[in-house]
Amino acid sequence: MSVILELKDVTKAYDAFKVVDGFNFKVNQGELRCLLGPNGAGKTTTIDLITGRQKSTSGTIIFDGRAITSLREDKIAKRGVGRKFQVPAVFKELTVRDNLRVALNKNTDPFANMFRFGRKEGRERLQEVVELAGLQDRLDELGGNLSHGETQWLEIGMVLTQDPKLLLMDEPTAGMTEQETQKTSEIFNRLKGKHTLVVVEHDMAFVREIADVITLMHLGKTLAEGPMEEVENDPKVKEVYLGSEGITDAA
Amino acid sequence: MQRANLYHDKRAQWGAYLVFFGILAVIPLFMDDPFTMNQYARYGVFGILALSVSLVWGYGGILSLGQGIAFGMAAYGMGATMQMQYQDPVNDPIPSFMLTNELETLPVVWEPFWHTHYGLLLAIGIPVLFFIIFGILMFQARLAGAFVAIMTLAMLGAWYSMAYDMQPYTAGFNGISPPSAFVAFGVEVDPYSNLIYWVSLGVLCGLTLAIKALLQTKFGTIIQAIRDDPERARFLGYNVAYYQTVLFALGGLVAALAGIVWVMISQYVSPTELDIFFSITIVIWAAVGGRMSLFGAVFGAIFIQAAESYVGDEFQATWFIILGVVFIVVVRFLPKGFAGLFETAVGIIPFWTKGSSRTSTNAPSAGE
Ligand SMILES: Nc1ncnc2c1ncn2[C@@H]1O[C@H](COP(=O)(O)OP(=O)(O)O)[C@@H](O)[C@H]1O
Ligand SMILES: [Mg+2]
Repeated sequence: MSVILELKDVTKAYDAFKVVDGFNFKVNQGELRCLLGPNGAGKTTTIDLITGRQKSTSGTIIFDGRAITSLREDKIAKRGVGRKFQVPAVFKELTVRDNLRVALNKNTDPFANMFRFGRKEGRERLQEVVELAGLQDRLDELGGNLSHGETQWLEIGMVLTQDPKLLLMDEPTAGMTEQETQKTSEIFNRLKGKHTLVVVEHDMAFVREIADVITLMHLGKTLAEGPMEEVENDPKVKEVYLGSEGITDAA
Repeated sequence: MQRANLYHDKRAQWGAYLVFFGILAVIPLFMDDPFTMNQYARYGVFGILALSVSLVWGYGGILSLGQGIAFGMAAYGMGATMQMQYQDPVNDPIPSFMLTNELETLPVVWEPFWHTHYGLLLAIGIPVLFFIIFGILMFQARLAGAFVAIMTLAMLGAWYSMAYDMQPYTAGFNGISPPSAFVAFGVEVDPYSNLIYWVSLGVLCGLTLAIKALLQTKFGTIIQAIRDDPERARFLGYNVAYYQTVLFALGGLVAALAGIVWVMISQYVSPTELDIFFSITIVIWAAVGGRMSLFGAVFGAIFIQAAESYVGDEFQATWFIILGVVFIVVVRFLPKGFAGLFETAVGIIPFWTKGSSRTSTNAPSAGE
């Protein structure tokens, strides 16, 4: 299996405080990796570093065989990295349909897009995503008028429309009902193989449903990595979560 | 079938444009008063300026208080072009204001204006080029909101001073008043004629329809997405600074065209075109009429300027206060301006569409 994403000794420091501290991380093509860890472990920062939202202090990030360490956000996105934000971000004053149309980003040149009306563009793909996200009846609604769950779905839908090689999902099920969470895990399971996913999650039931391998982050470093059972029983993990019921509780 | 607002129906919108411009086009046939036509032609220019703000601010979220830069630069270019149409290469090669400022030869920068086509090209090209460079500087640095407003305002102030100070080249405070009307393809565009009105209306109509069409394209949707959340757009692969620069330059182009038409009408250009208060007024027109509506912005411009000329004589001194109060009231109670009010009113008319596959792919707010 080939490695699609690799972080080598990546560090992000604010003054003396290292939020991400010499982090090493490898994800294989087609894998679904869960990134766990207590609040403040550096998970969101790691995603920010991969997607270019923040610049690393040191280290290298390689995606699809090329370094993307100091590239601009949109260039990284064009290489095939999509992300869902921890606080769901959609275009509030655009309709659901337009949100998805914007996510359809095969051509991002402004002048080319002046001659593109996009009624037909990617119609099947949009249809597919809309059904997957269950937004059929909400297409003409403004993004800002959606419920929290629907907003999560719309943003997931946008990332899917974007059709990236690597999907970075920061707490995708936060605020979802049990049923919605169930549906999300079904979709993620369907996506893996063709796409590569890195999912930050707190819901352990959800993680059990979807993860092959999990990486447990602590203080900006890898604390443990492997299948769920292995990580759960790792003495180092037990030590960090001393006094609690284990990672299930802490996460 | 599902209940909808006729206001958001694309066909209804295009129809409304057709009716609106159709009615405006035949006005001279019933008026035939050259002075009124000159006045109405000026309203056309105000409408074009409001369009530029609606496009850049309403749809693109870029609050530019510097539309007067492009307007003024183009106006000076047009003033120079018309001045040189009047001059004679052999007998009278130097404009009289230059002579009084002790210039003995025509400045090099004025040379191209001997040729009307070069003059027009420069009058439009230079402001657009300037907006591209200025836009790159601002948007690469990811400036937004109040910072853009202040930068554009400061830049406008700088250009105002320049026009004022470079007396030998710009005639300073007095301004340039070309003695003859603009002549294009052998036709004299008399500022007091039906023709000048149609020229102004034609440019307004053409630009309205062009921008309307532009907003239907994917570019139109993307700039609105960037207005809502530039960060999100970036992570979808869009070069936000590039889009903003293109949009800003387009806004500059529209304002430049307004400047060209303005000097045809007024046969005069002075630093007032670069006046800071004038550029702020343009933004007020758009805000009051409805910045997220092309129609609304144009209406706002005409409404406020007509009100000024109507009320103005009696309340000249207090006009700015009236304008300020109207602005505050509208911003506070009608965030979408008059257009929002109109939207609600039209919504009362019973109107149905077929399910969700209705009229358009554009947001309701991206409507008329
Ligand atoms: N701009 C900043 N300055 C200083 N510390 C920061 C900044 N941004 C984030 N942090 C810190 O970085 C740590 C990691 O944050 P984050 O990556 O969001 O954690 P997680 O997503 O794992 O909960 C937190 O302790 C947070 O307080
Ligand atoms: Mg986080």
